[in-house]
Amino acid sequence: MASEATVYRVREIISTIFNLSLEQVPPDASNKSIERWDSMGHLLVVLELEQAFETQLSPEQTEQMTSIPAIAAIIDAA
Amino acid sequence: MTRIDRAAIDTAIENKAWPAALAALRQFWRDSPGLAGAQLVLDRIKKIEHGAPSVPCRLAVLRSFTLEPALPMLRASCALHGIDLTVQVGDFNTYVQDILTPTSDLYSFDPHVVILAVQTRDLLPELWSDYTALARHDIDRAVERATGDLRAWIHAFRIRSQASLIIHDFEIRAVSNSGILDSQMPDGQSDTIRRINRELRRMAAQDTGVFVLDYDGLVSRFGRDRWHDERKWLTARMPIAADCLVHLADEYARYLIPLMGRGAKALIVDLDNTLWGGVVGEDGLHGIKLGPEYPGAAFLALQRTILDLYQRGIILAVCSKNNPADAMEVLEQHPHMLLRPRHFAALRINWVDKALNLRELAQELNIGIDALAFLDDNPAERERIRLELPEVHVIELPQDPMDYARAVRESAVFERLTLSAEDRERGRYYAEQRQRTELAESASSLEDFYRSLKMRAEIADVTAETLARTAQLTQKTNQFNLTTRRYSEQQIEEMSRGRDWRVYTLRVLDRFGDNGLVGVAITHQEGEVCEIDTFLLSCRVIGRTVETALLAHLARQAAEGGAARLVGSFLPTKKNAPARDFYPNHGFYAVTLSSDPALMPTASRWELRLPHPDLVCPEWIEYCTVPGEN
Repeated sequence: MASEATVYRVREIISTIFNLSLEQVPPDASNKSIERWDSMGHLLVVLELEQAFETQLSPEQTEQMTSIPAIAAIIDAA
Repeated sequence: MTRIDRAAIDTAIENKAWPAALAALRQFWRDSPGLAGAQLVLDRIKKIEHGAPSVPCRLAVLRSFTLEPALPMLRASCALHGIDLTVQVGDFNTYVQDILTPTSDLYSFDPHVVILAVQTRDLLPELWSDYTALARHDIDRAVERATGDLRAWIHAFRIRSQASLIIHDFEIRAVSNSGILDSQMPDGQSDTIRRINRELRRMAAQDTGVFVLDYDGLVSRFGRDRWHDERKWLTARMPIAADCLVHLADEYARYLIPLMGRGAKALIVDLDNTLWGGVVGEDGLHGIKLGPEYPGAAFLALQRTILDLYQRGIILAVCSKNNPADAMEVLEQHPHMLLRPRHFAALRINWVDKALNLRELAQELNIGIDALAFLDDNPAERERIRLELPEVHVIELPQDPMDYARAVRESAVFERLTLSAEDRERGRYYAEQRQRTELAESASSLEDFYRSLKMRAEIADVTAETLARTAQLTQKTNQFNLTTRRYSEQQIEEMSRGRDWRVYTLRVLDRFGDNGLVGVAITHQEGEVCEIDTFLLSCRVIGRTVETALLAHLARQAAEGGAARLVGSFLPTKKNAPARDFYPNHGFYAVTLSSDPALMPTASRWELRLPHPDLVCPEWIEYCTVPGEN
């Protein structure tokens, strides 16, 4: 289970990238619920996460990062 | 990114404190450039109602790799410079088809600017990866093919589009295929790629509106190892590390700012603790820090950088809270000063509020407030200008004077893509202008003043030599400009070749020197109507009746060409009030006028029957025509 702080931070990042309010990005949001989260959107998400958390994500990890819970879990495990 | 910054921006927006909001947004972008920051800037800037409207710019990017994540940052950076950027990105590696197909999306997008971003490894895979396996003639053939292709693409593009074209040059490898052996050969791998780059620069220089972006230099500036991200290249075809994308965006902005006319024309500098260390009023001429040794060397480095800007055609002026005698003593006598009074077009050495001084300086230099850049070590003065005159480009100076020169050098608003003869001479023009003003103050009547100037107007058709300056004038002239139509060099060139079009240039000389090319008029004749498409005058010669000389020439040419009517429009903008009464003052009749032009300044159309014997060159101007190329 990812920490609440990480979930919040991830929501902030996703909301900024797609220009949404924090409320529009609930803790269970995913690439299915956010329209502009397509393959290019996904690249933006990955780049921003890597910078914000100062980490390098592997292709396998980024492939799984299709929702807020999945992202937060991977970030916390890293 | 910190939440405090966001809150400051949003509070300012809520309070409708537009300058504060803009200042906060600019600072936010300086502190946290990046993807998230870019989205925030783009979102908030729409809510800020600041004075100057943005110029729209359509940018097409043709590429061989993923660079989309850099684009929000580019749009944000442009937005803060008053450019509203729309970007179209081509598909991977379809740039050849895009350029060669007249009906491609590239051309239907009708871009102002096109960037061709192709990596060495995509254009020249054999030179990039298999260099050691190539024989001499294979290498030569690869170079010939690459340069031949580039030449053909530039040519095809020029036929189909008038947009400016920016081409990435080709990066060399961080480590060549043969290791250090490569440097032992005159035609090694790195050298071969540099050969192609040299050829590219030659081609670009031959064509108007084609520019080279030193991509190899950009990569090396930040470090080849740091720039590249092999994982992103292999997974997403993005070769550039996430934290370097902003540098690519910044580099693009350096081109778009001058191309869209959003650069600064003048730099206003402070003196104490900016041009030298210490306060001259307290430390005295010999006590201030300026010279080849630290700490004076830091200030000397800044002066050298400012001198570079002067050579580039940036006007310099002083705005300093000081006793004039103290400050002038340093400017005139300090042995290590590089900047002397002759470099400055205007001086404001007084104790008056700097915002007031800057307003006056803009007026005296005859340029818009938004064409000023401001350099001052005092954060309070910078803040004052940001809040009072948000249009001014305030250069954020770091704490340490050793970083001052770099801060100025990195300011994108001073970038220029072409350097005309006028640019190089601008400093001198302004110094002469100061003398003219002094004369005007002593001359008893205006006509005496005109006579005493001994003006000579040379009117010519535009030529290859004057093309760059002519386009530049249409792009930069705001005040005496009847229609404010902005044209690229290619568009001017095309019009000058058109059968019914004429592009006139006006050069003015007087007893103080050559003012250079200071006026442009473009006409289009259809049957018996000659339409004035463009009529503009550089602020350098406003108020000296040379516009009458140019208009009289136009009228005579039109009449000789069979026109019975000379027609022109006045399209009002925020800045072109000086040109408002130009047509009525020269005997033109209003064809259409808005009901109350004073209240609702809208476009008006004016007409003059030809021939018109009253419209002649003023007697105090010696006038001559110079045959052009046409």
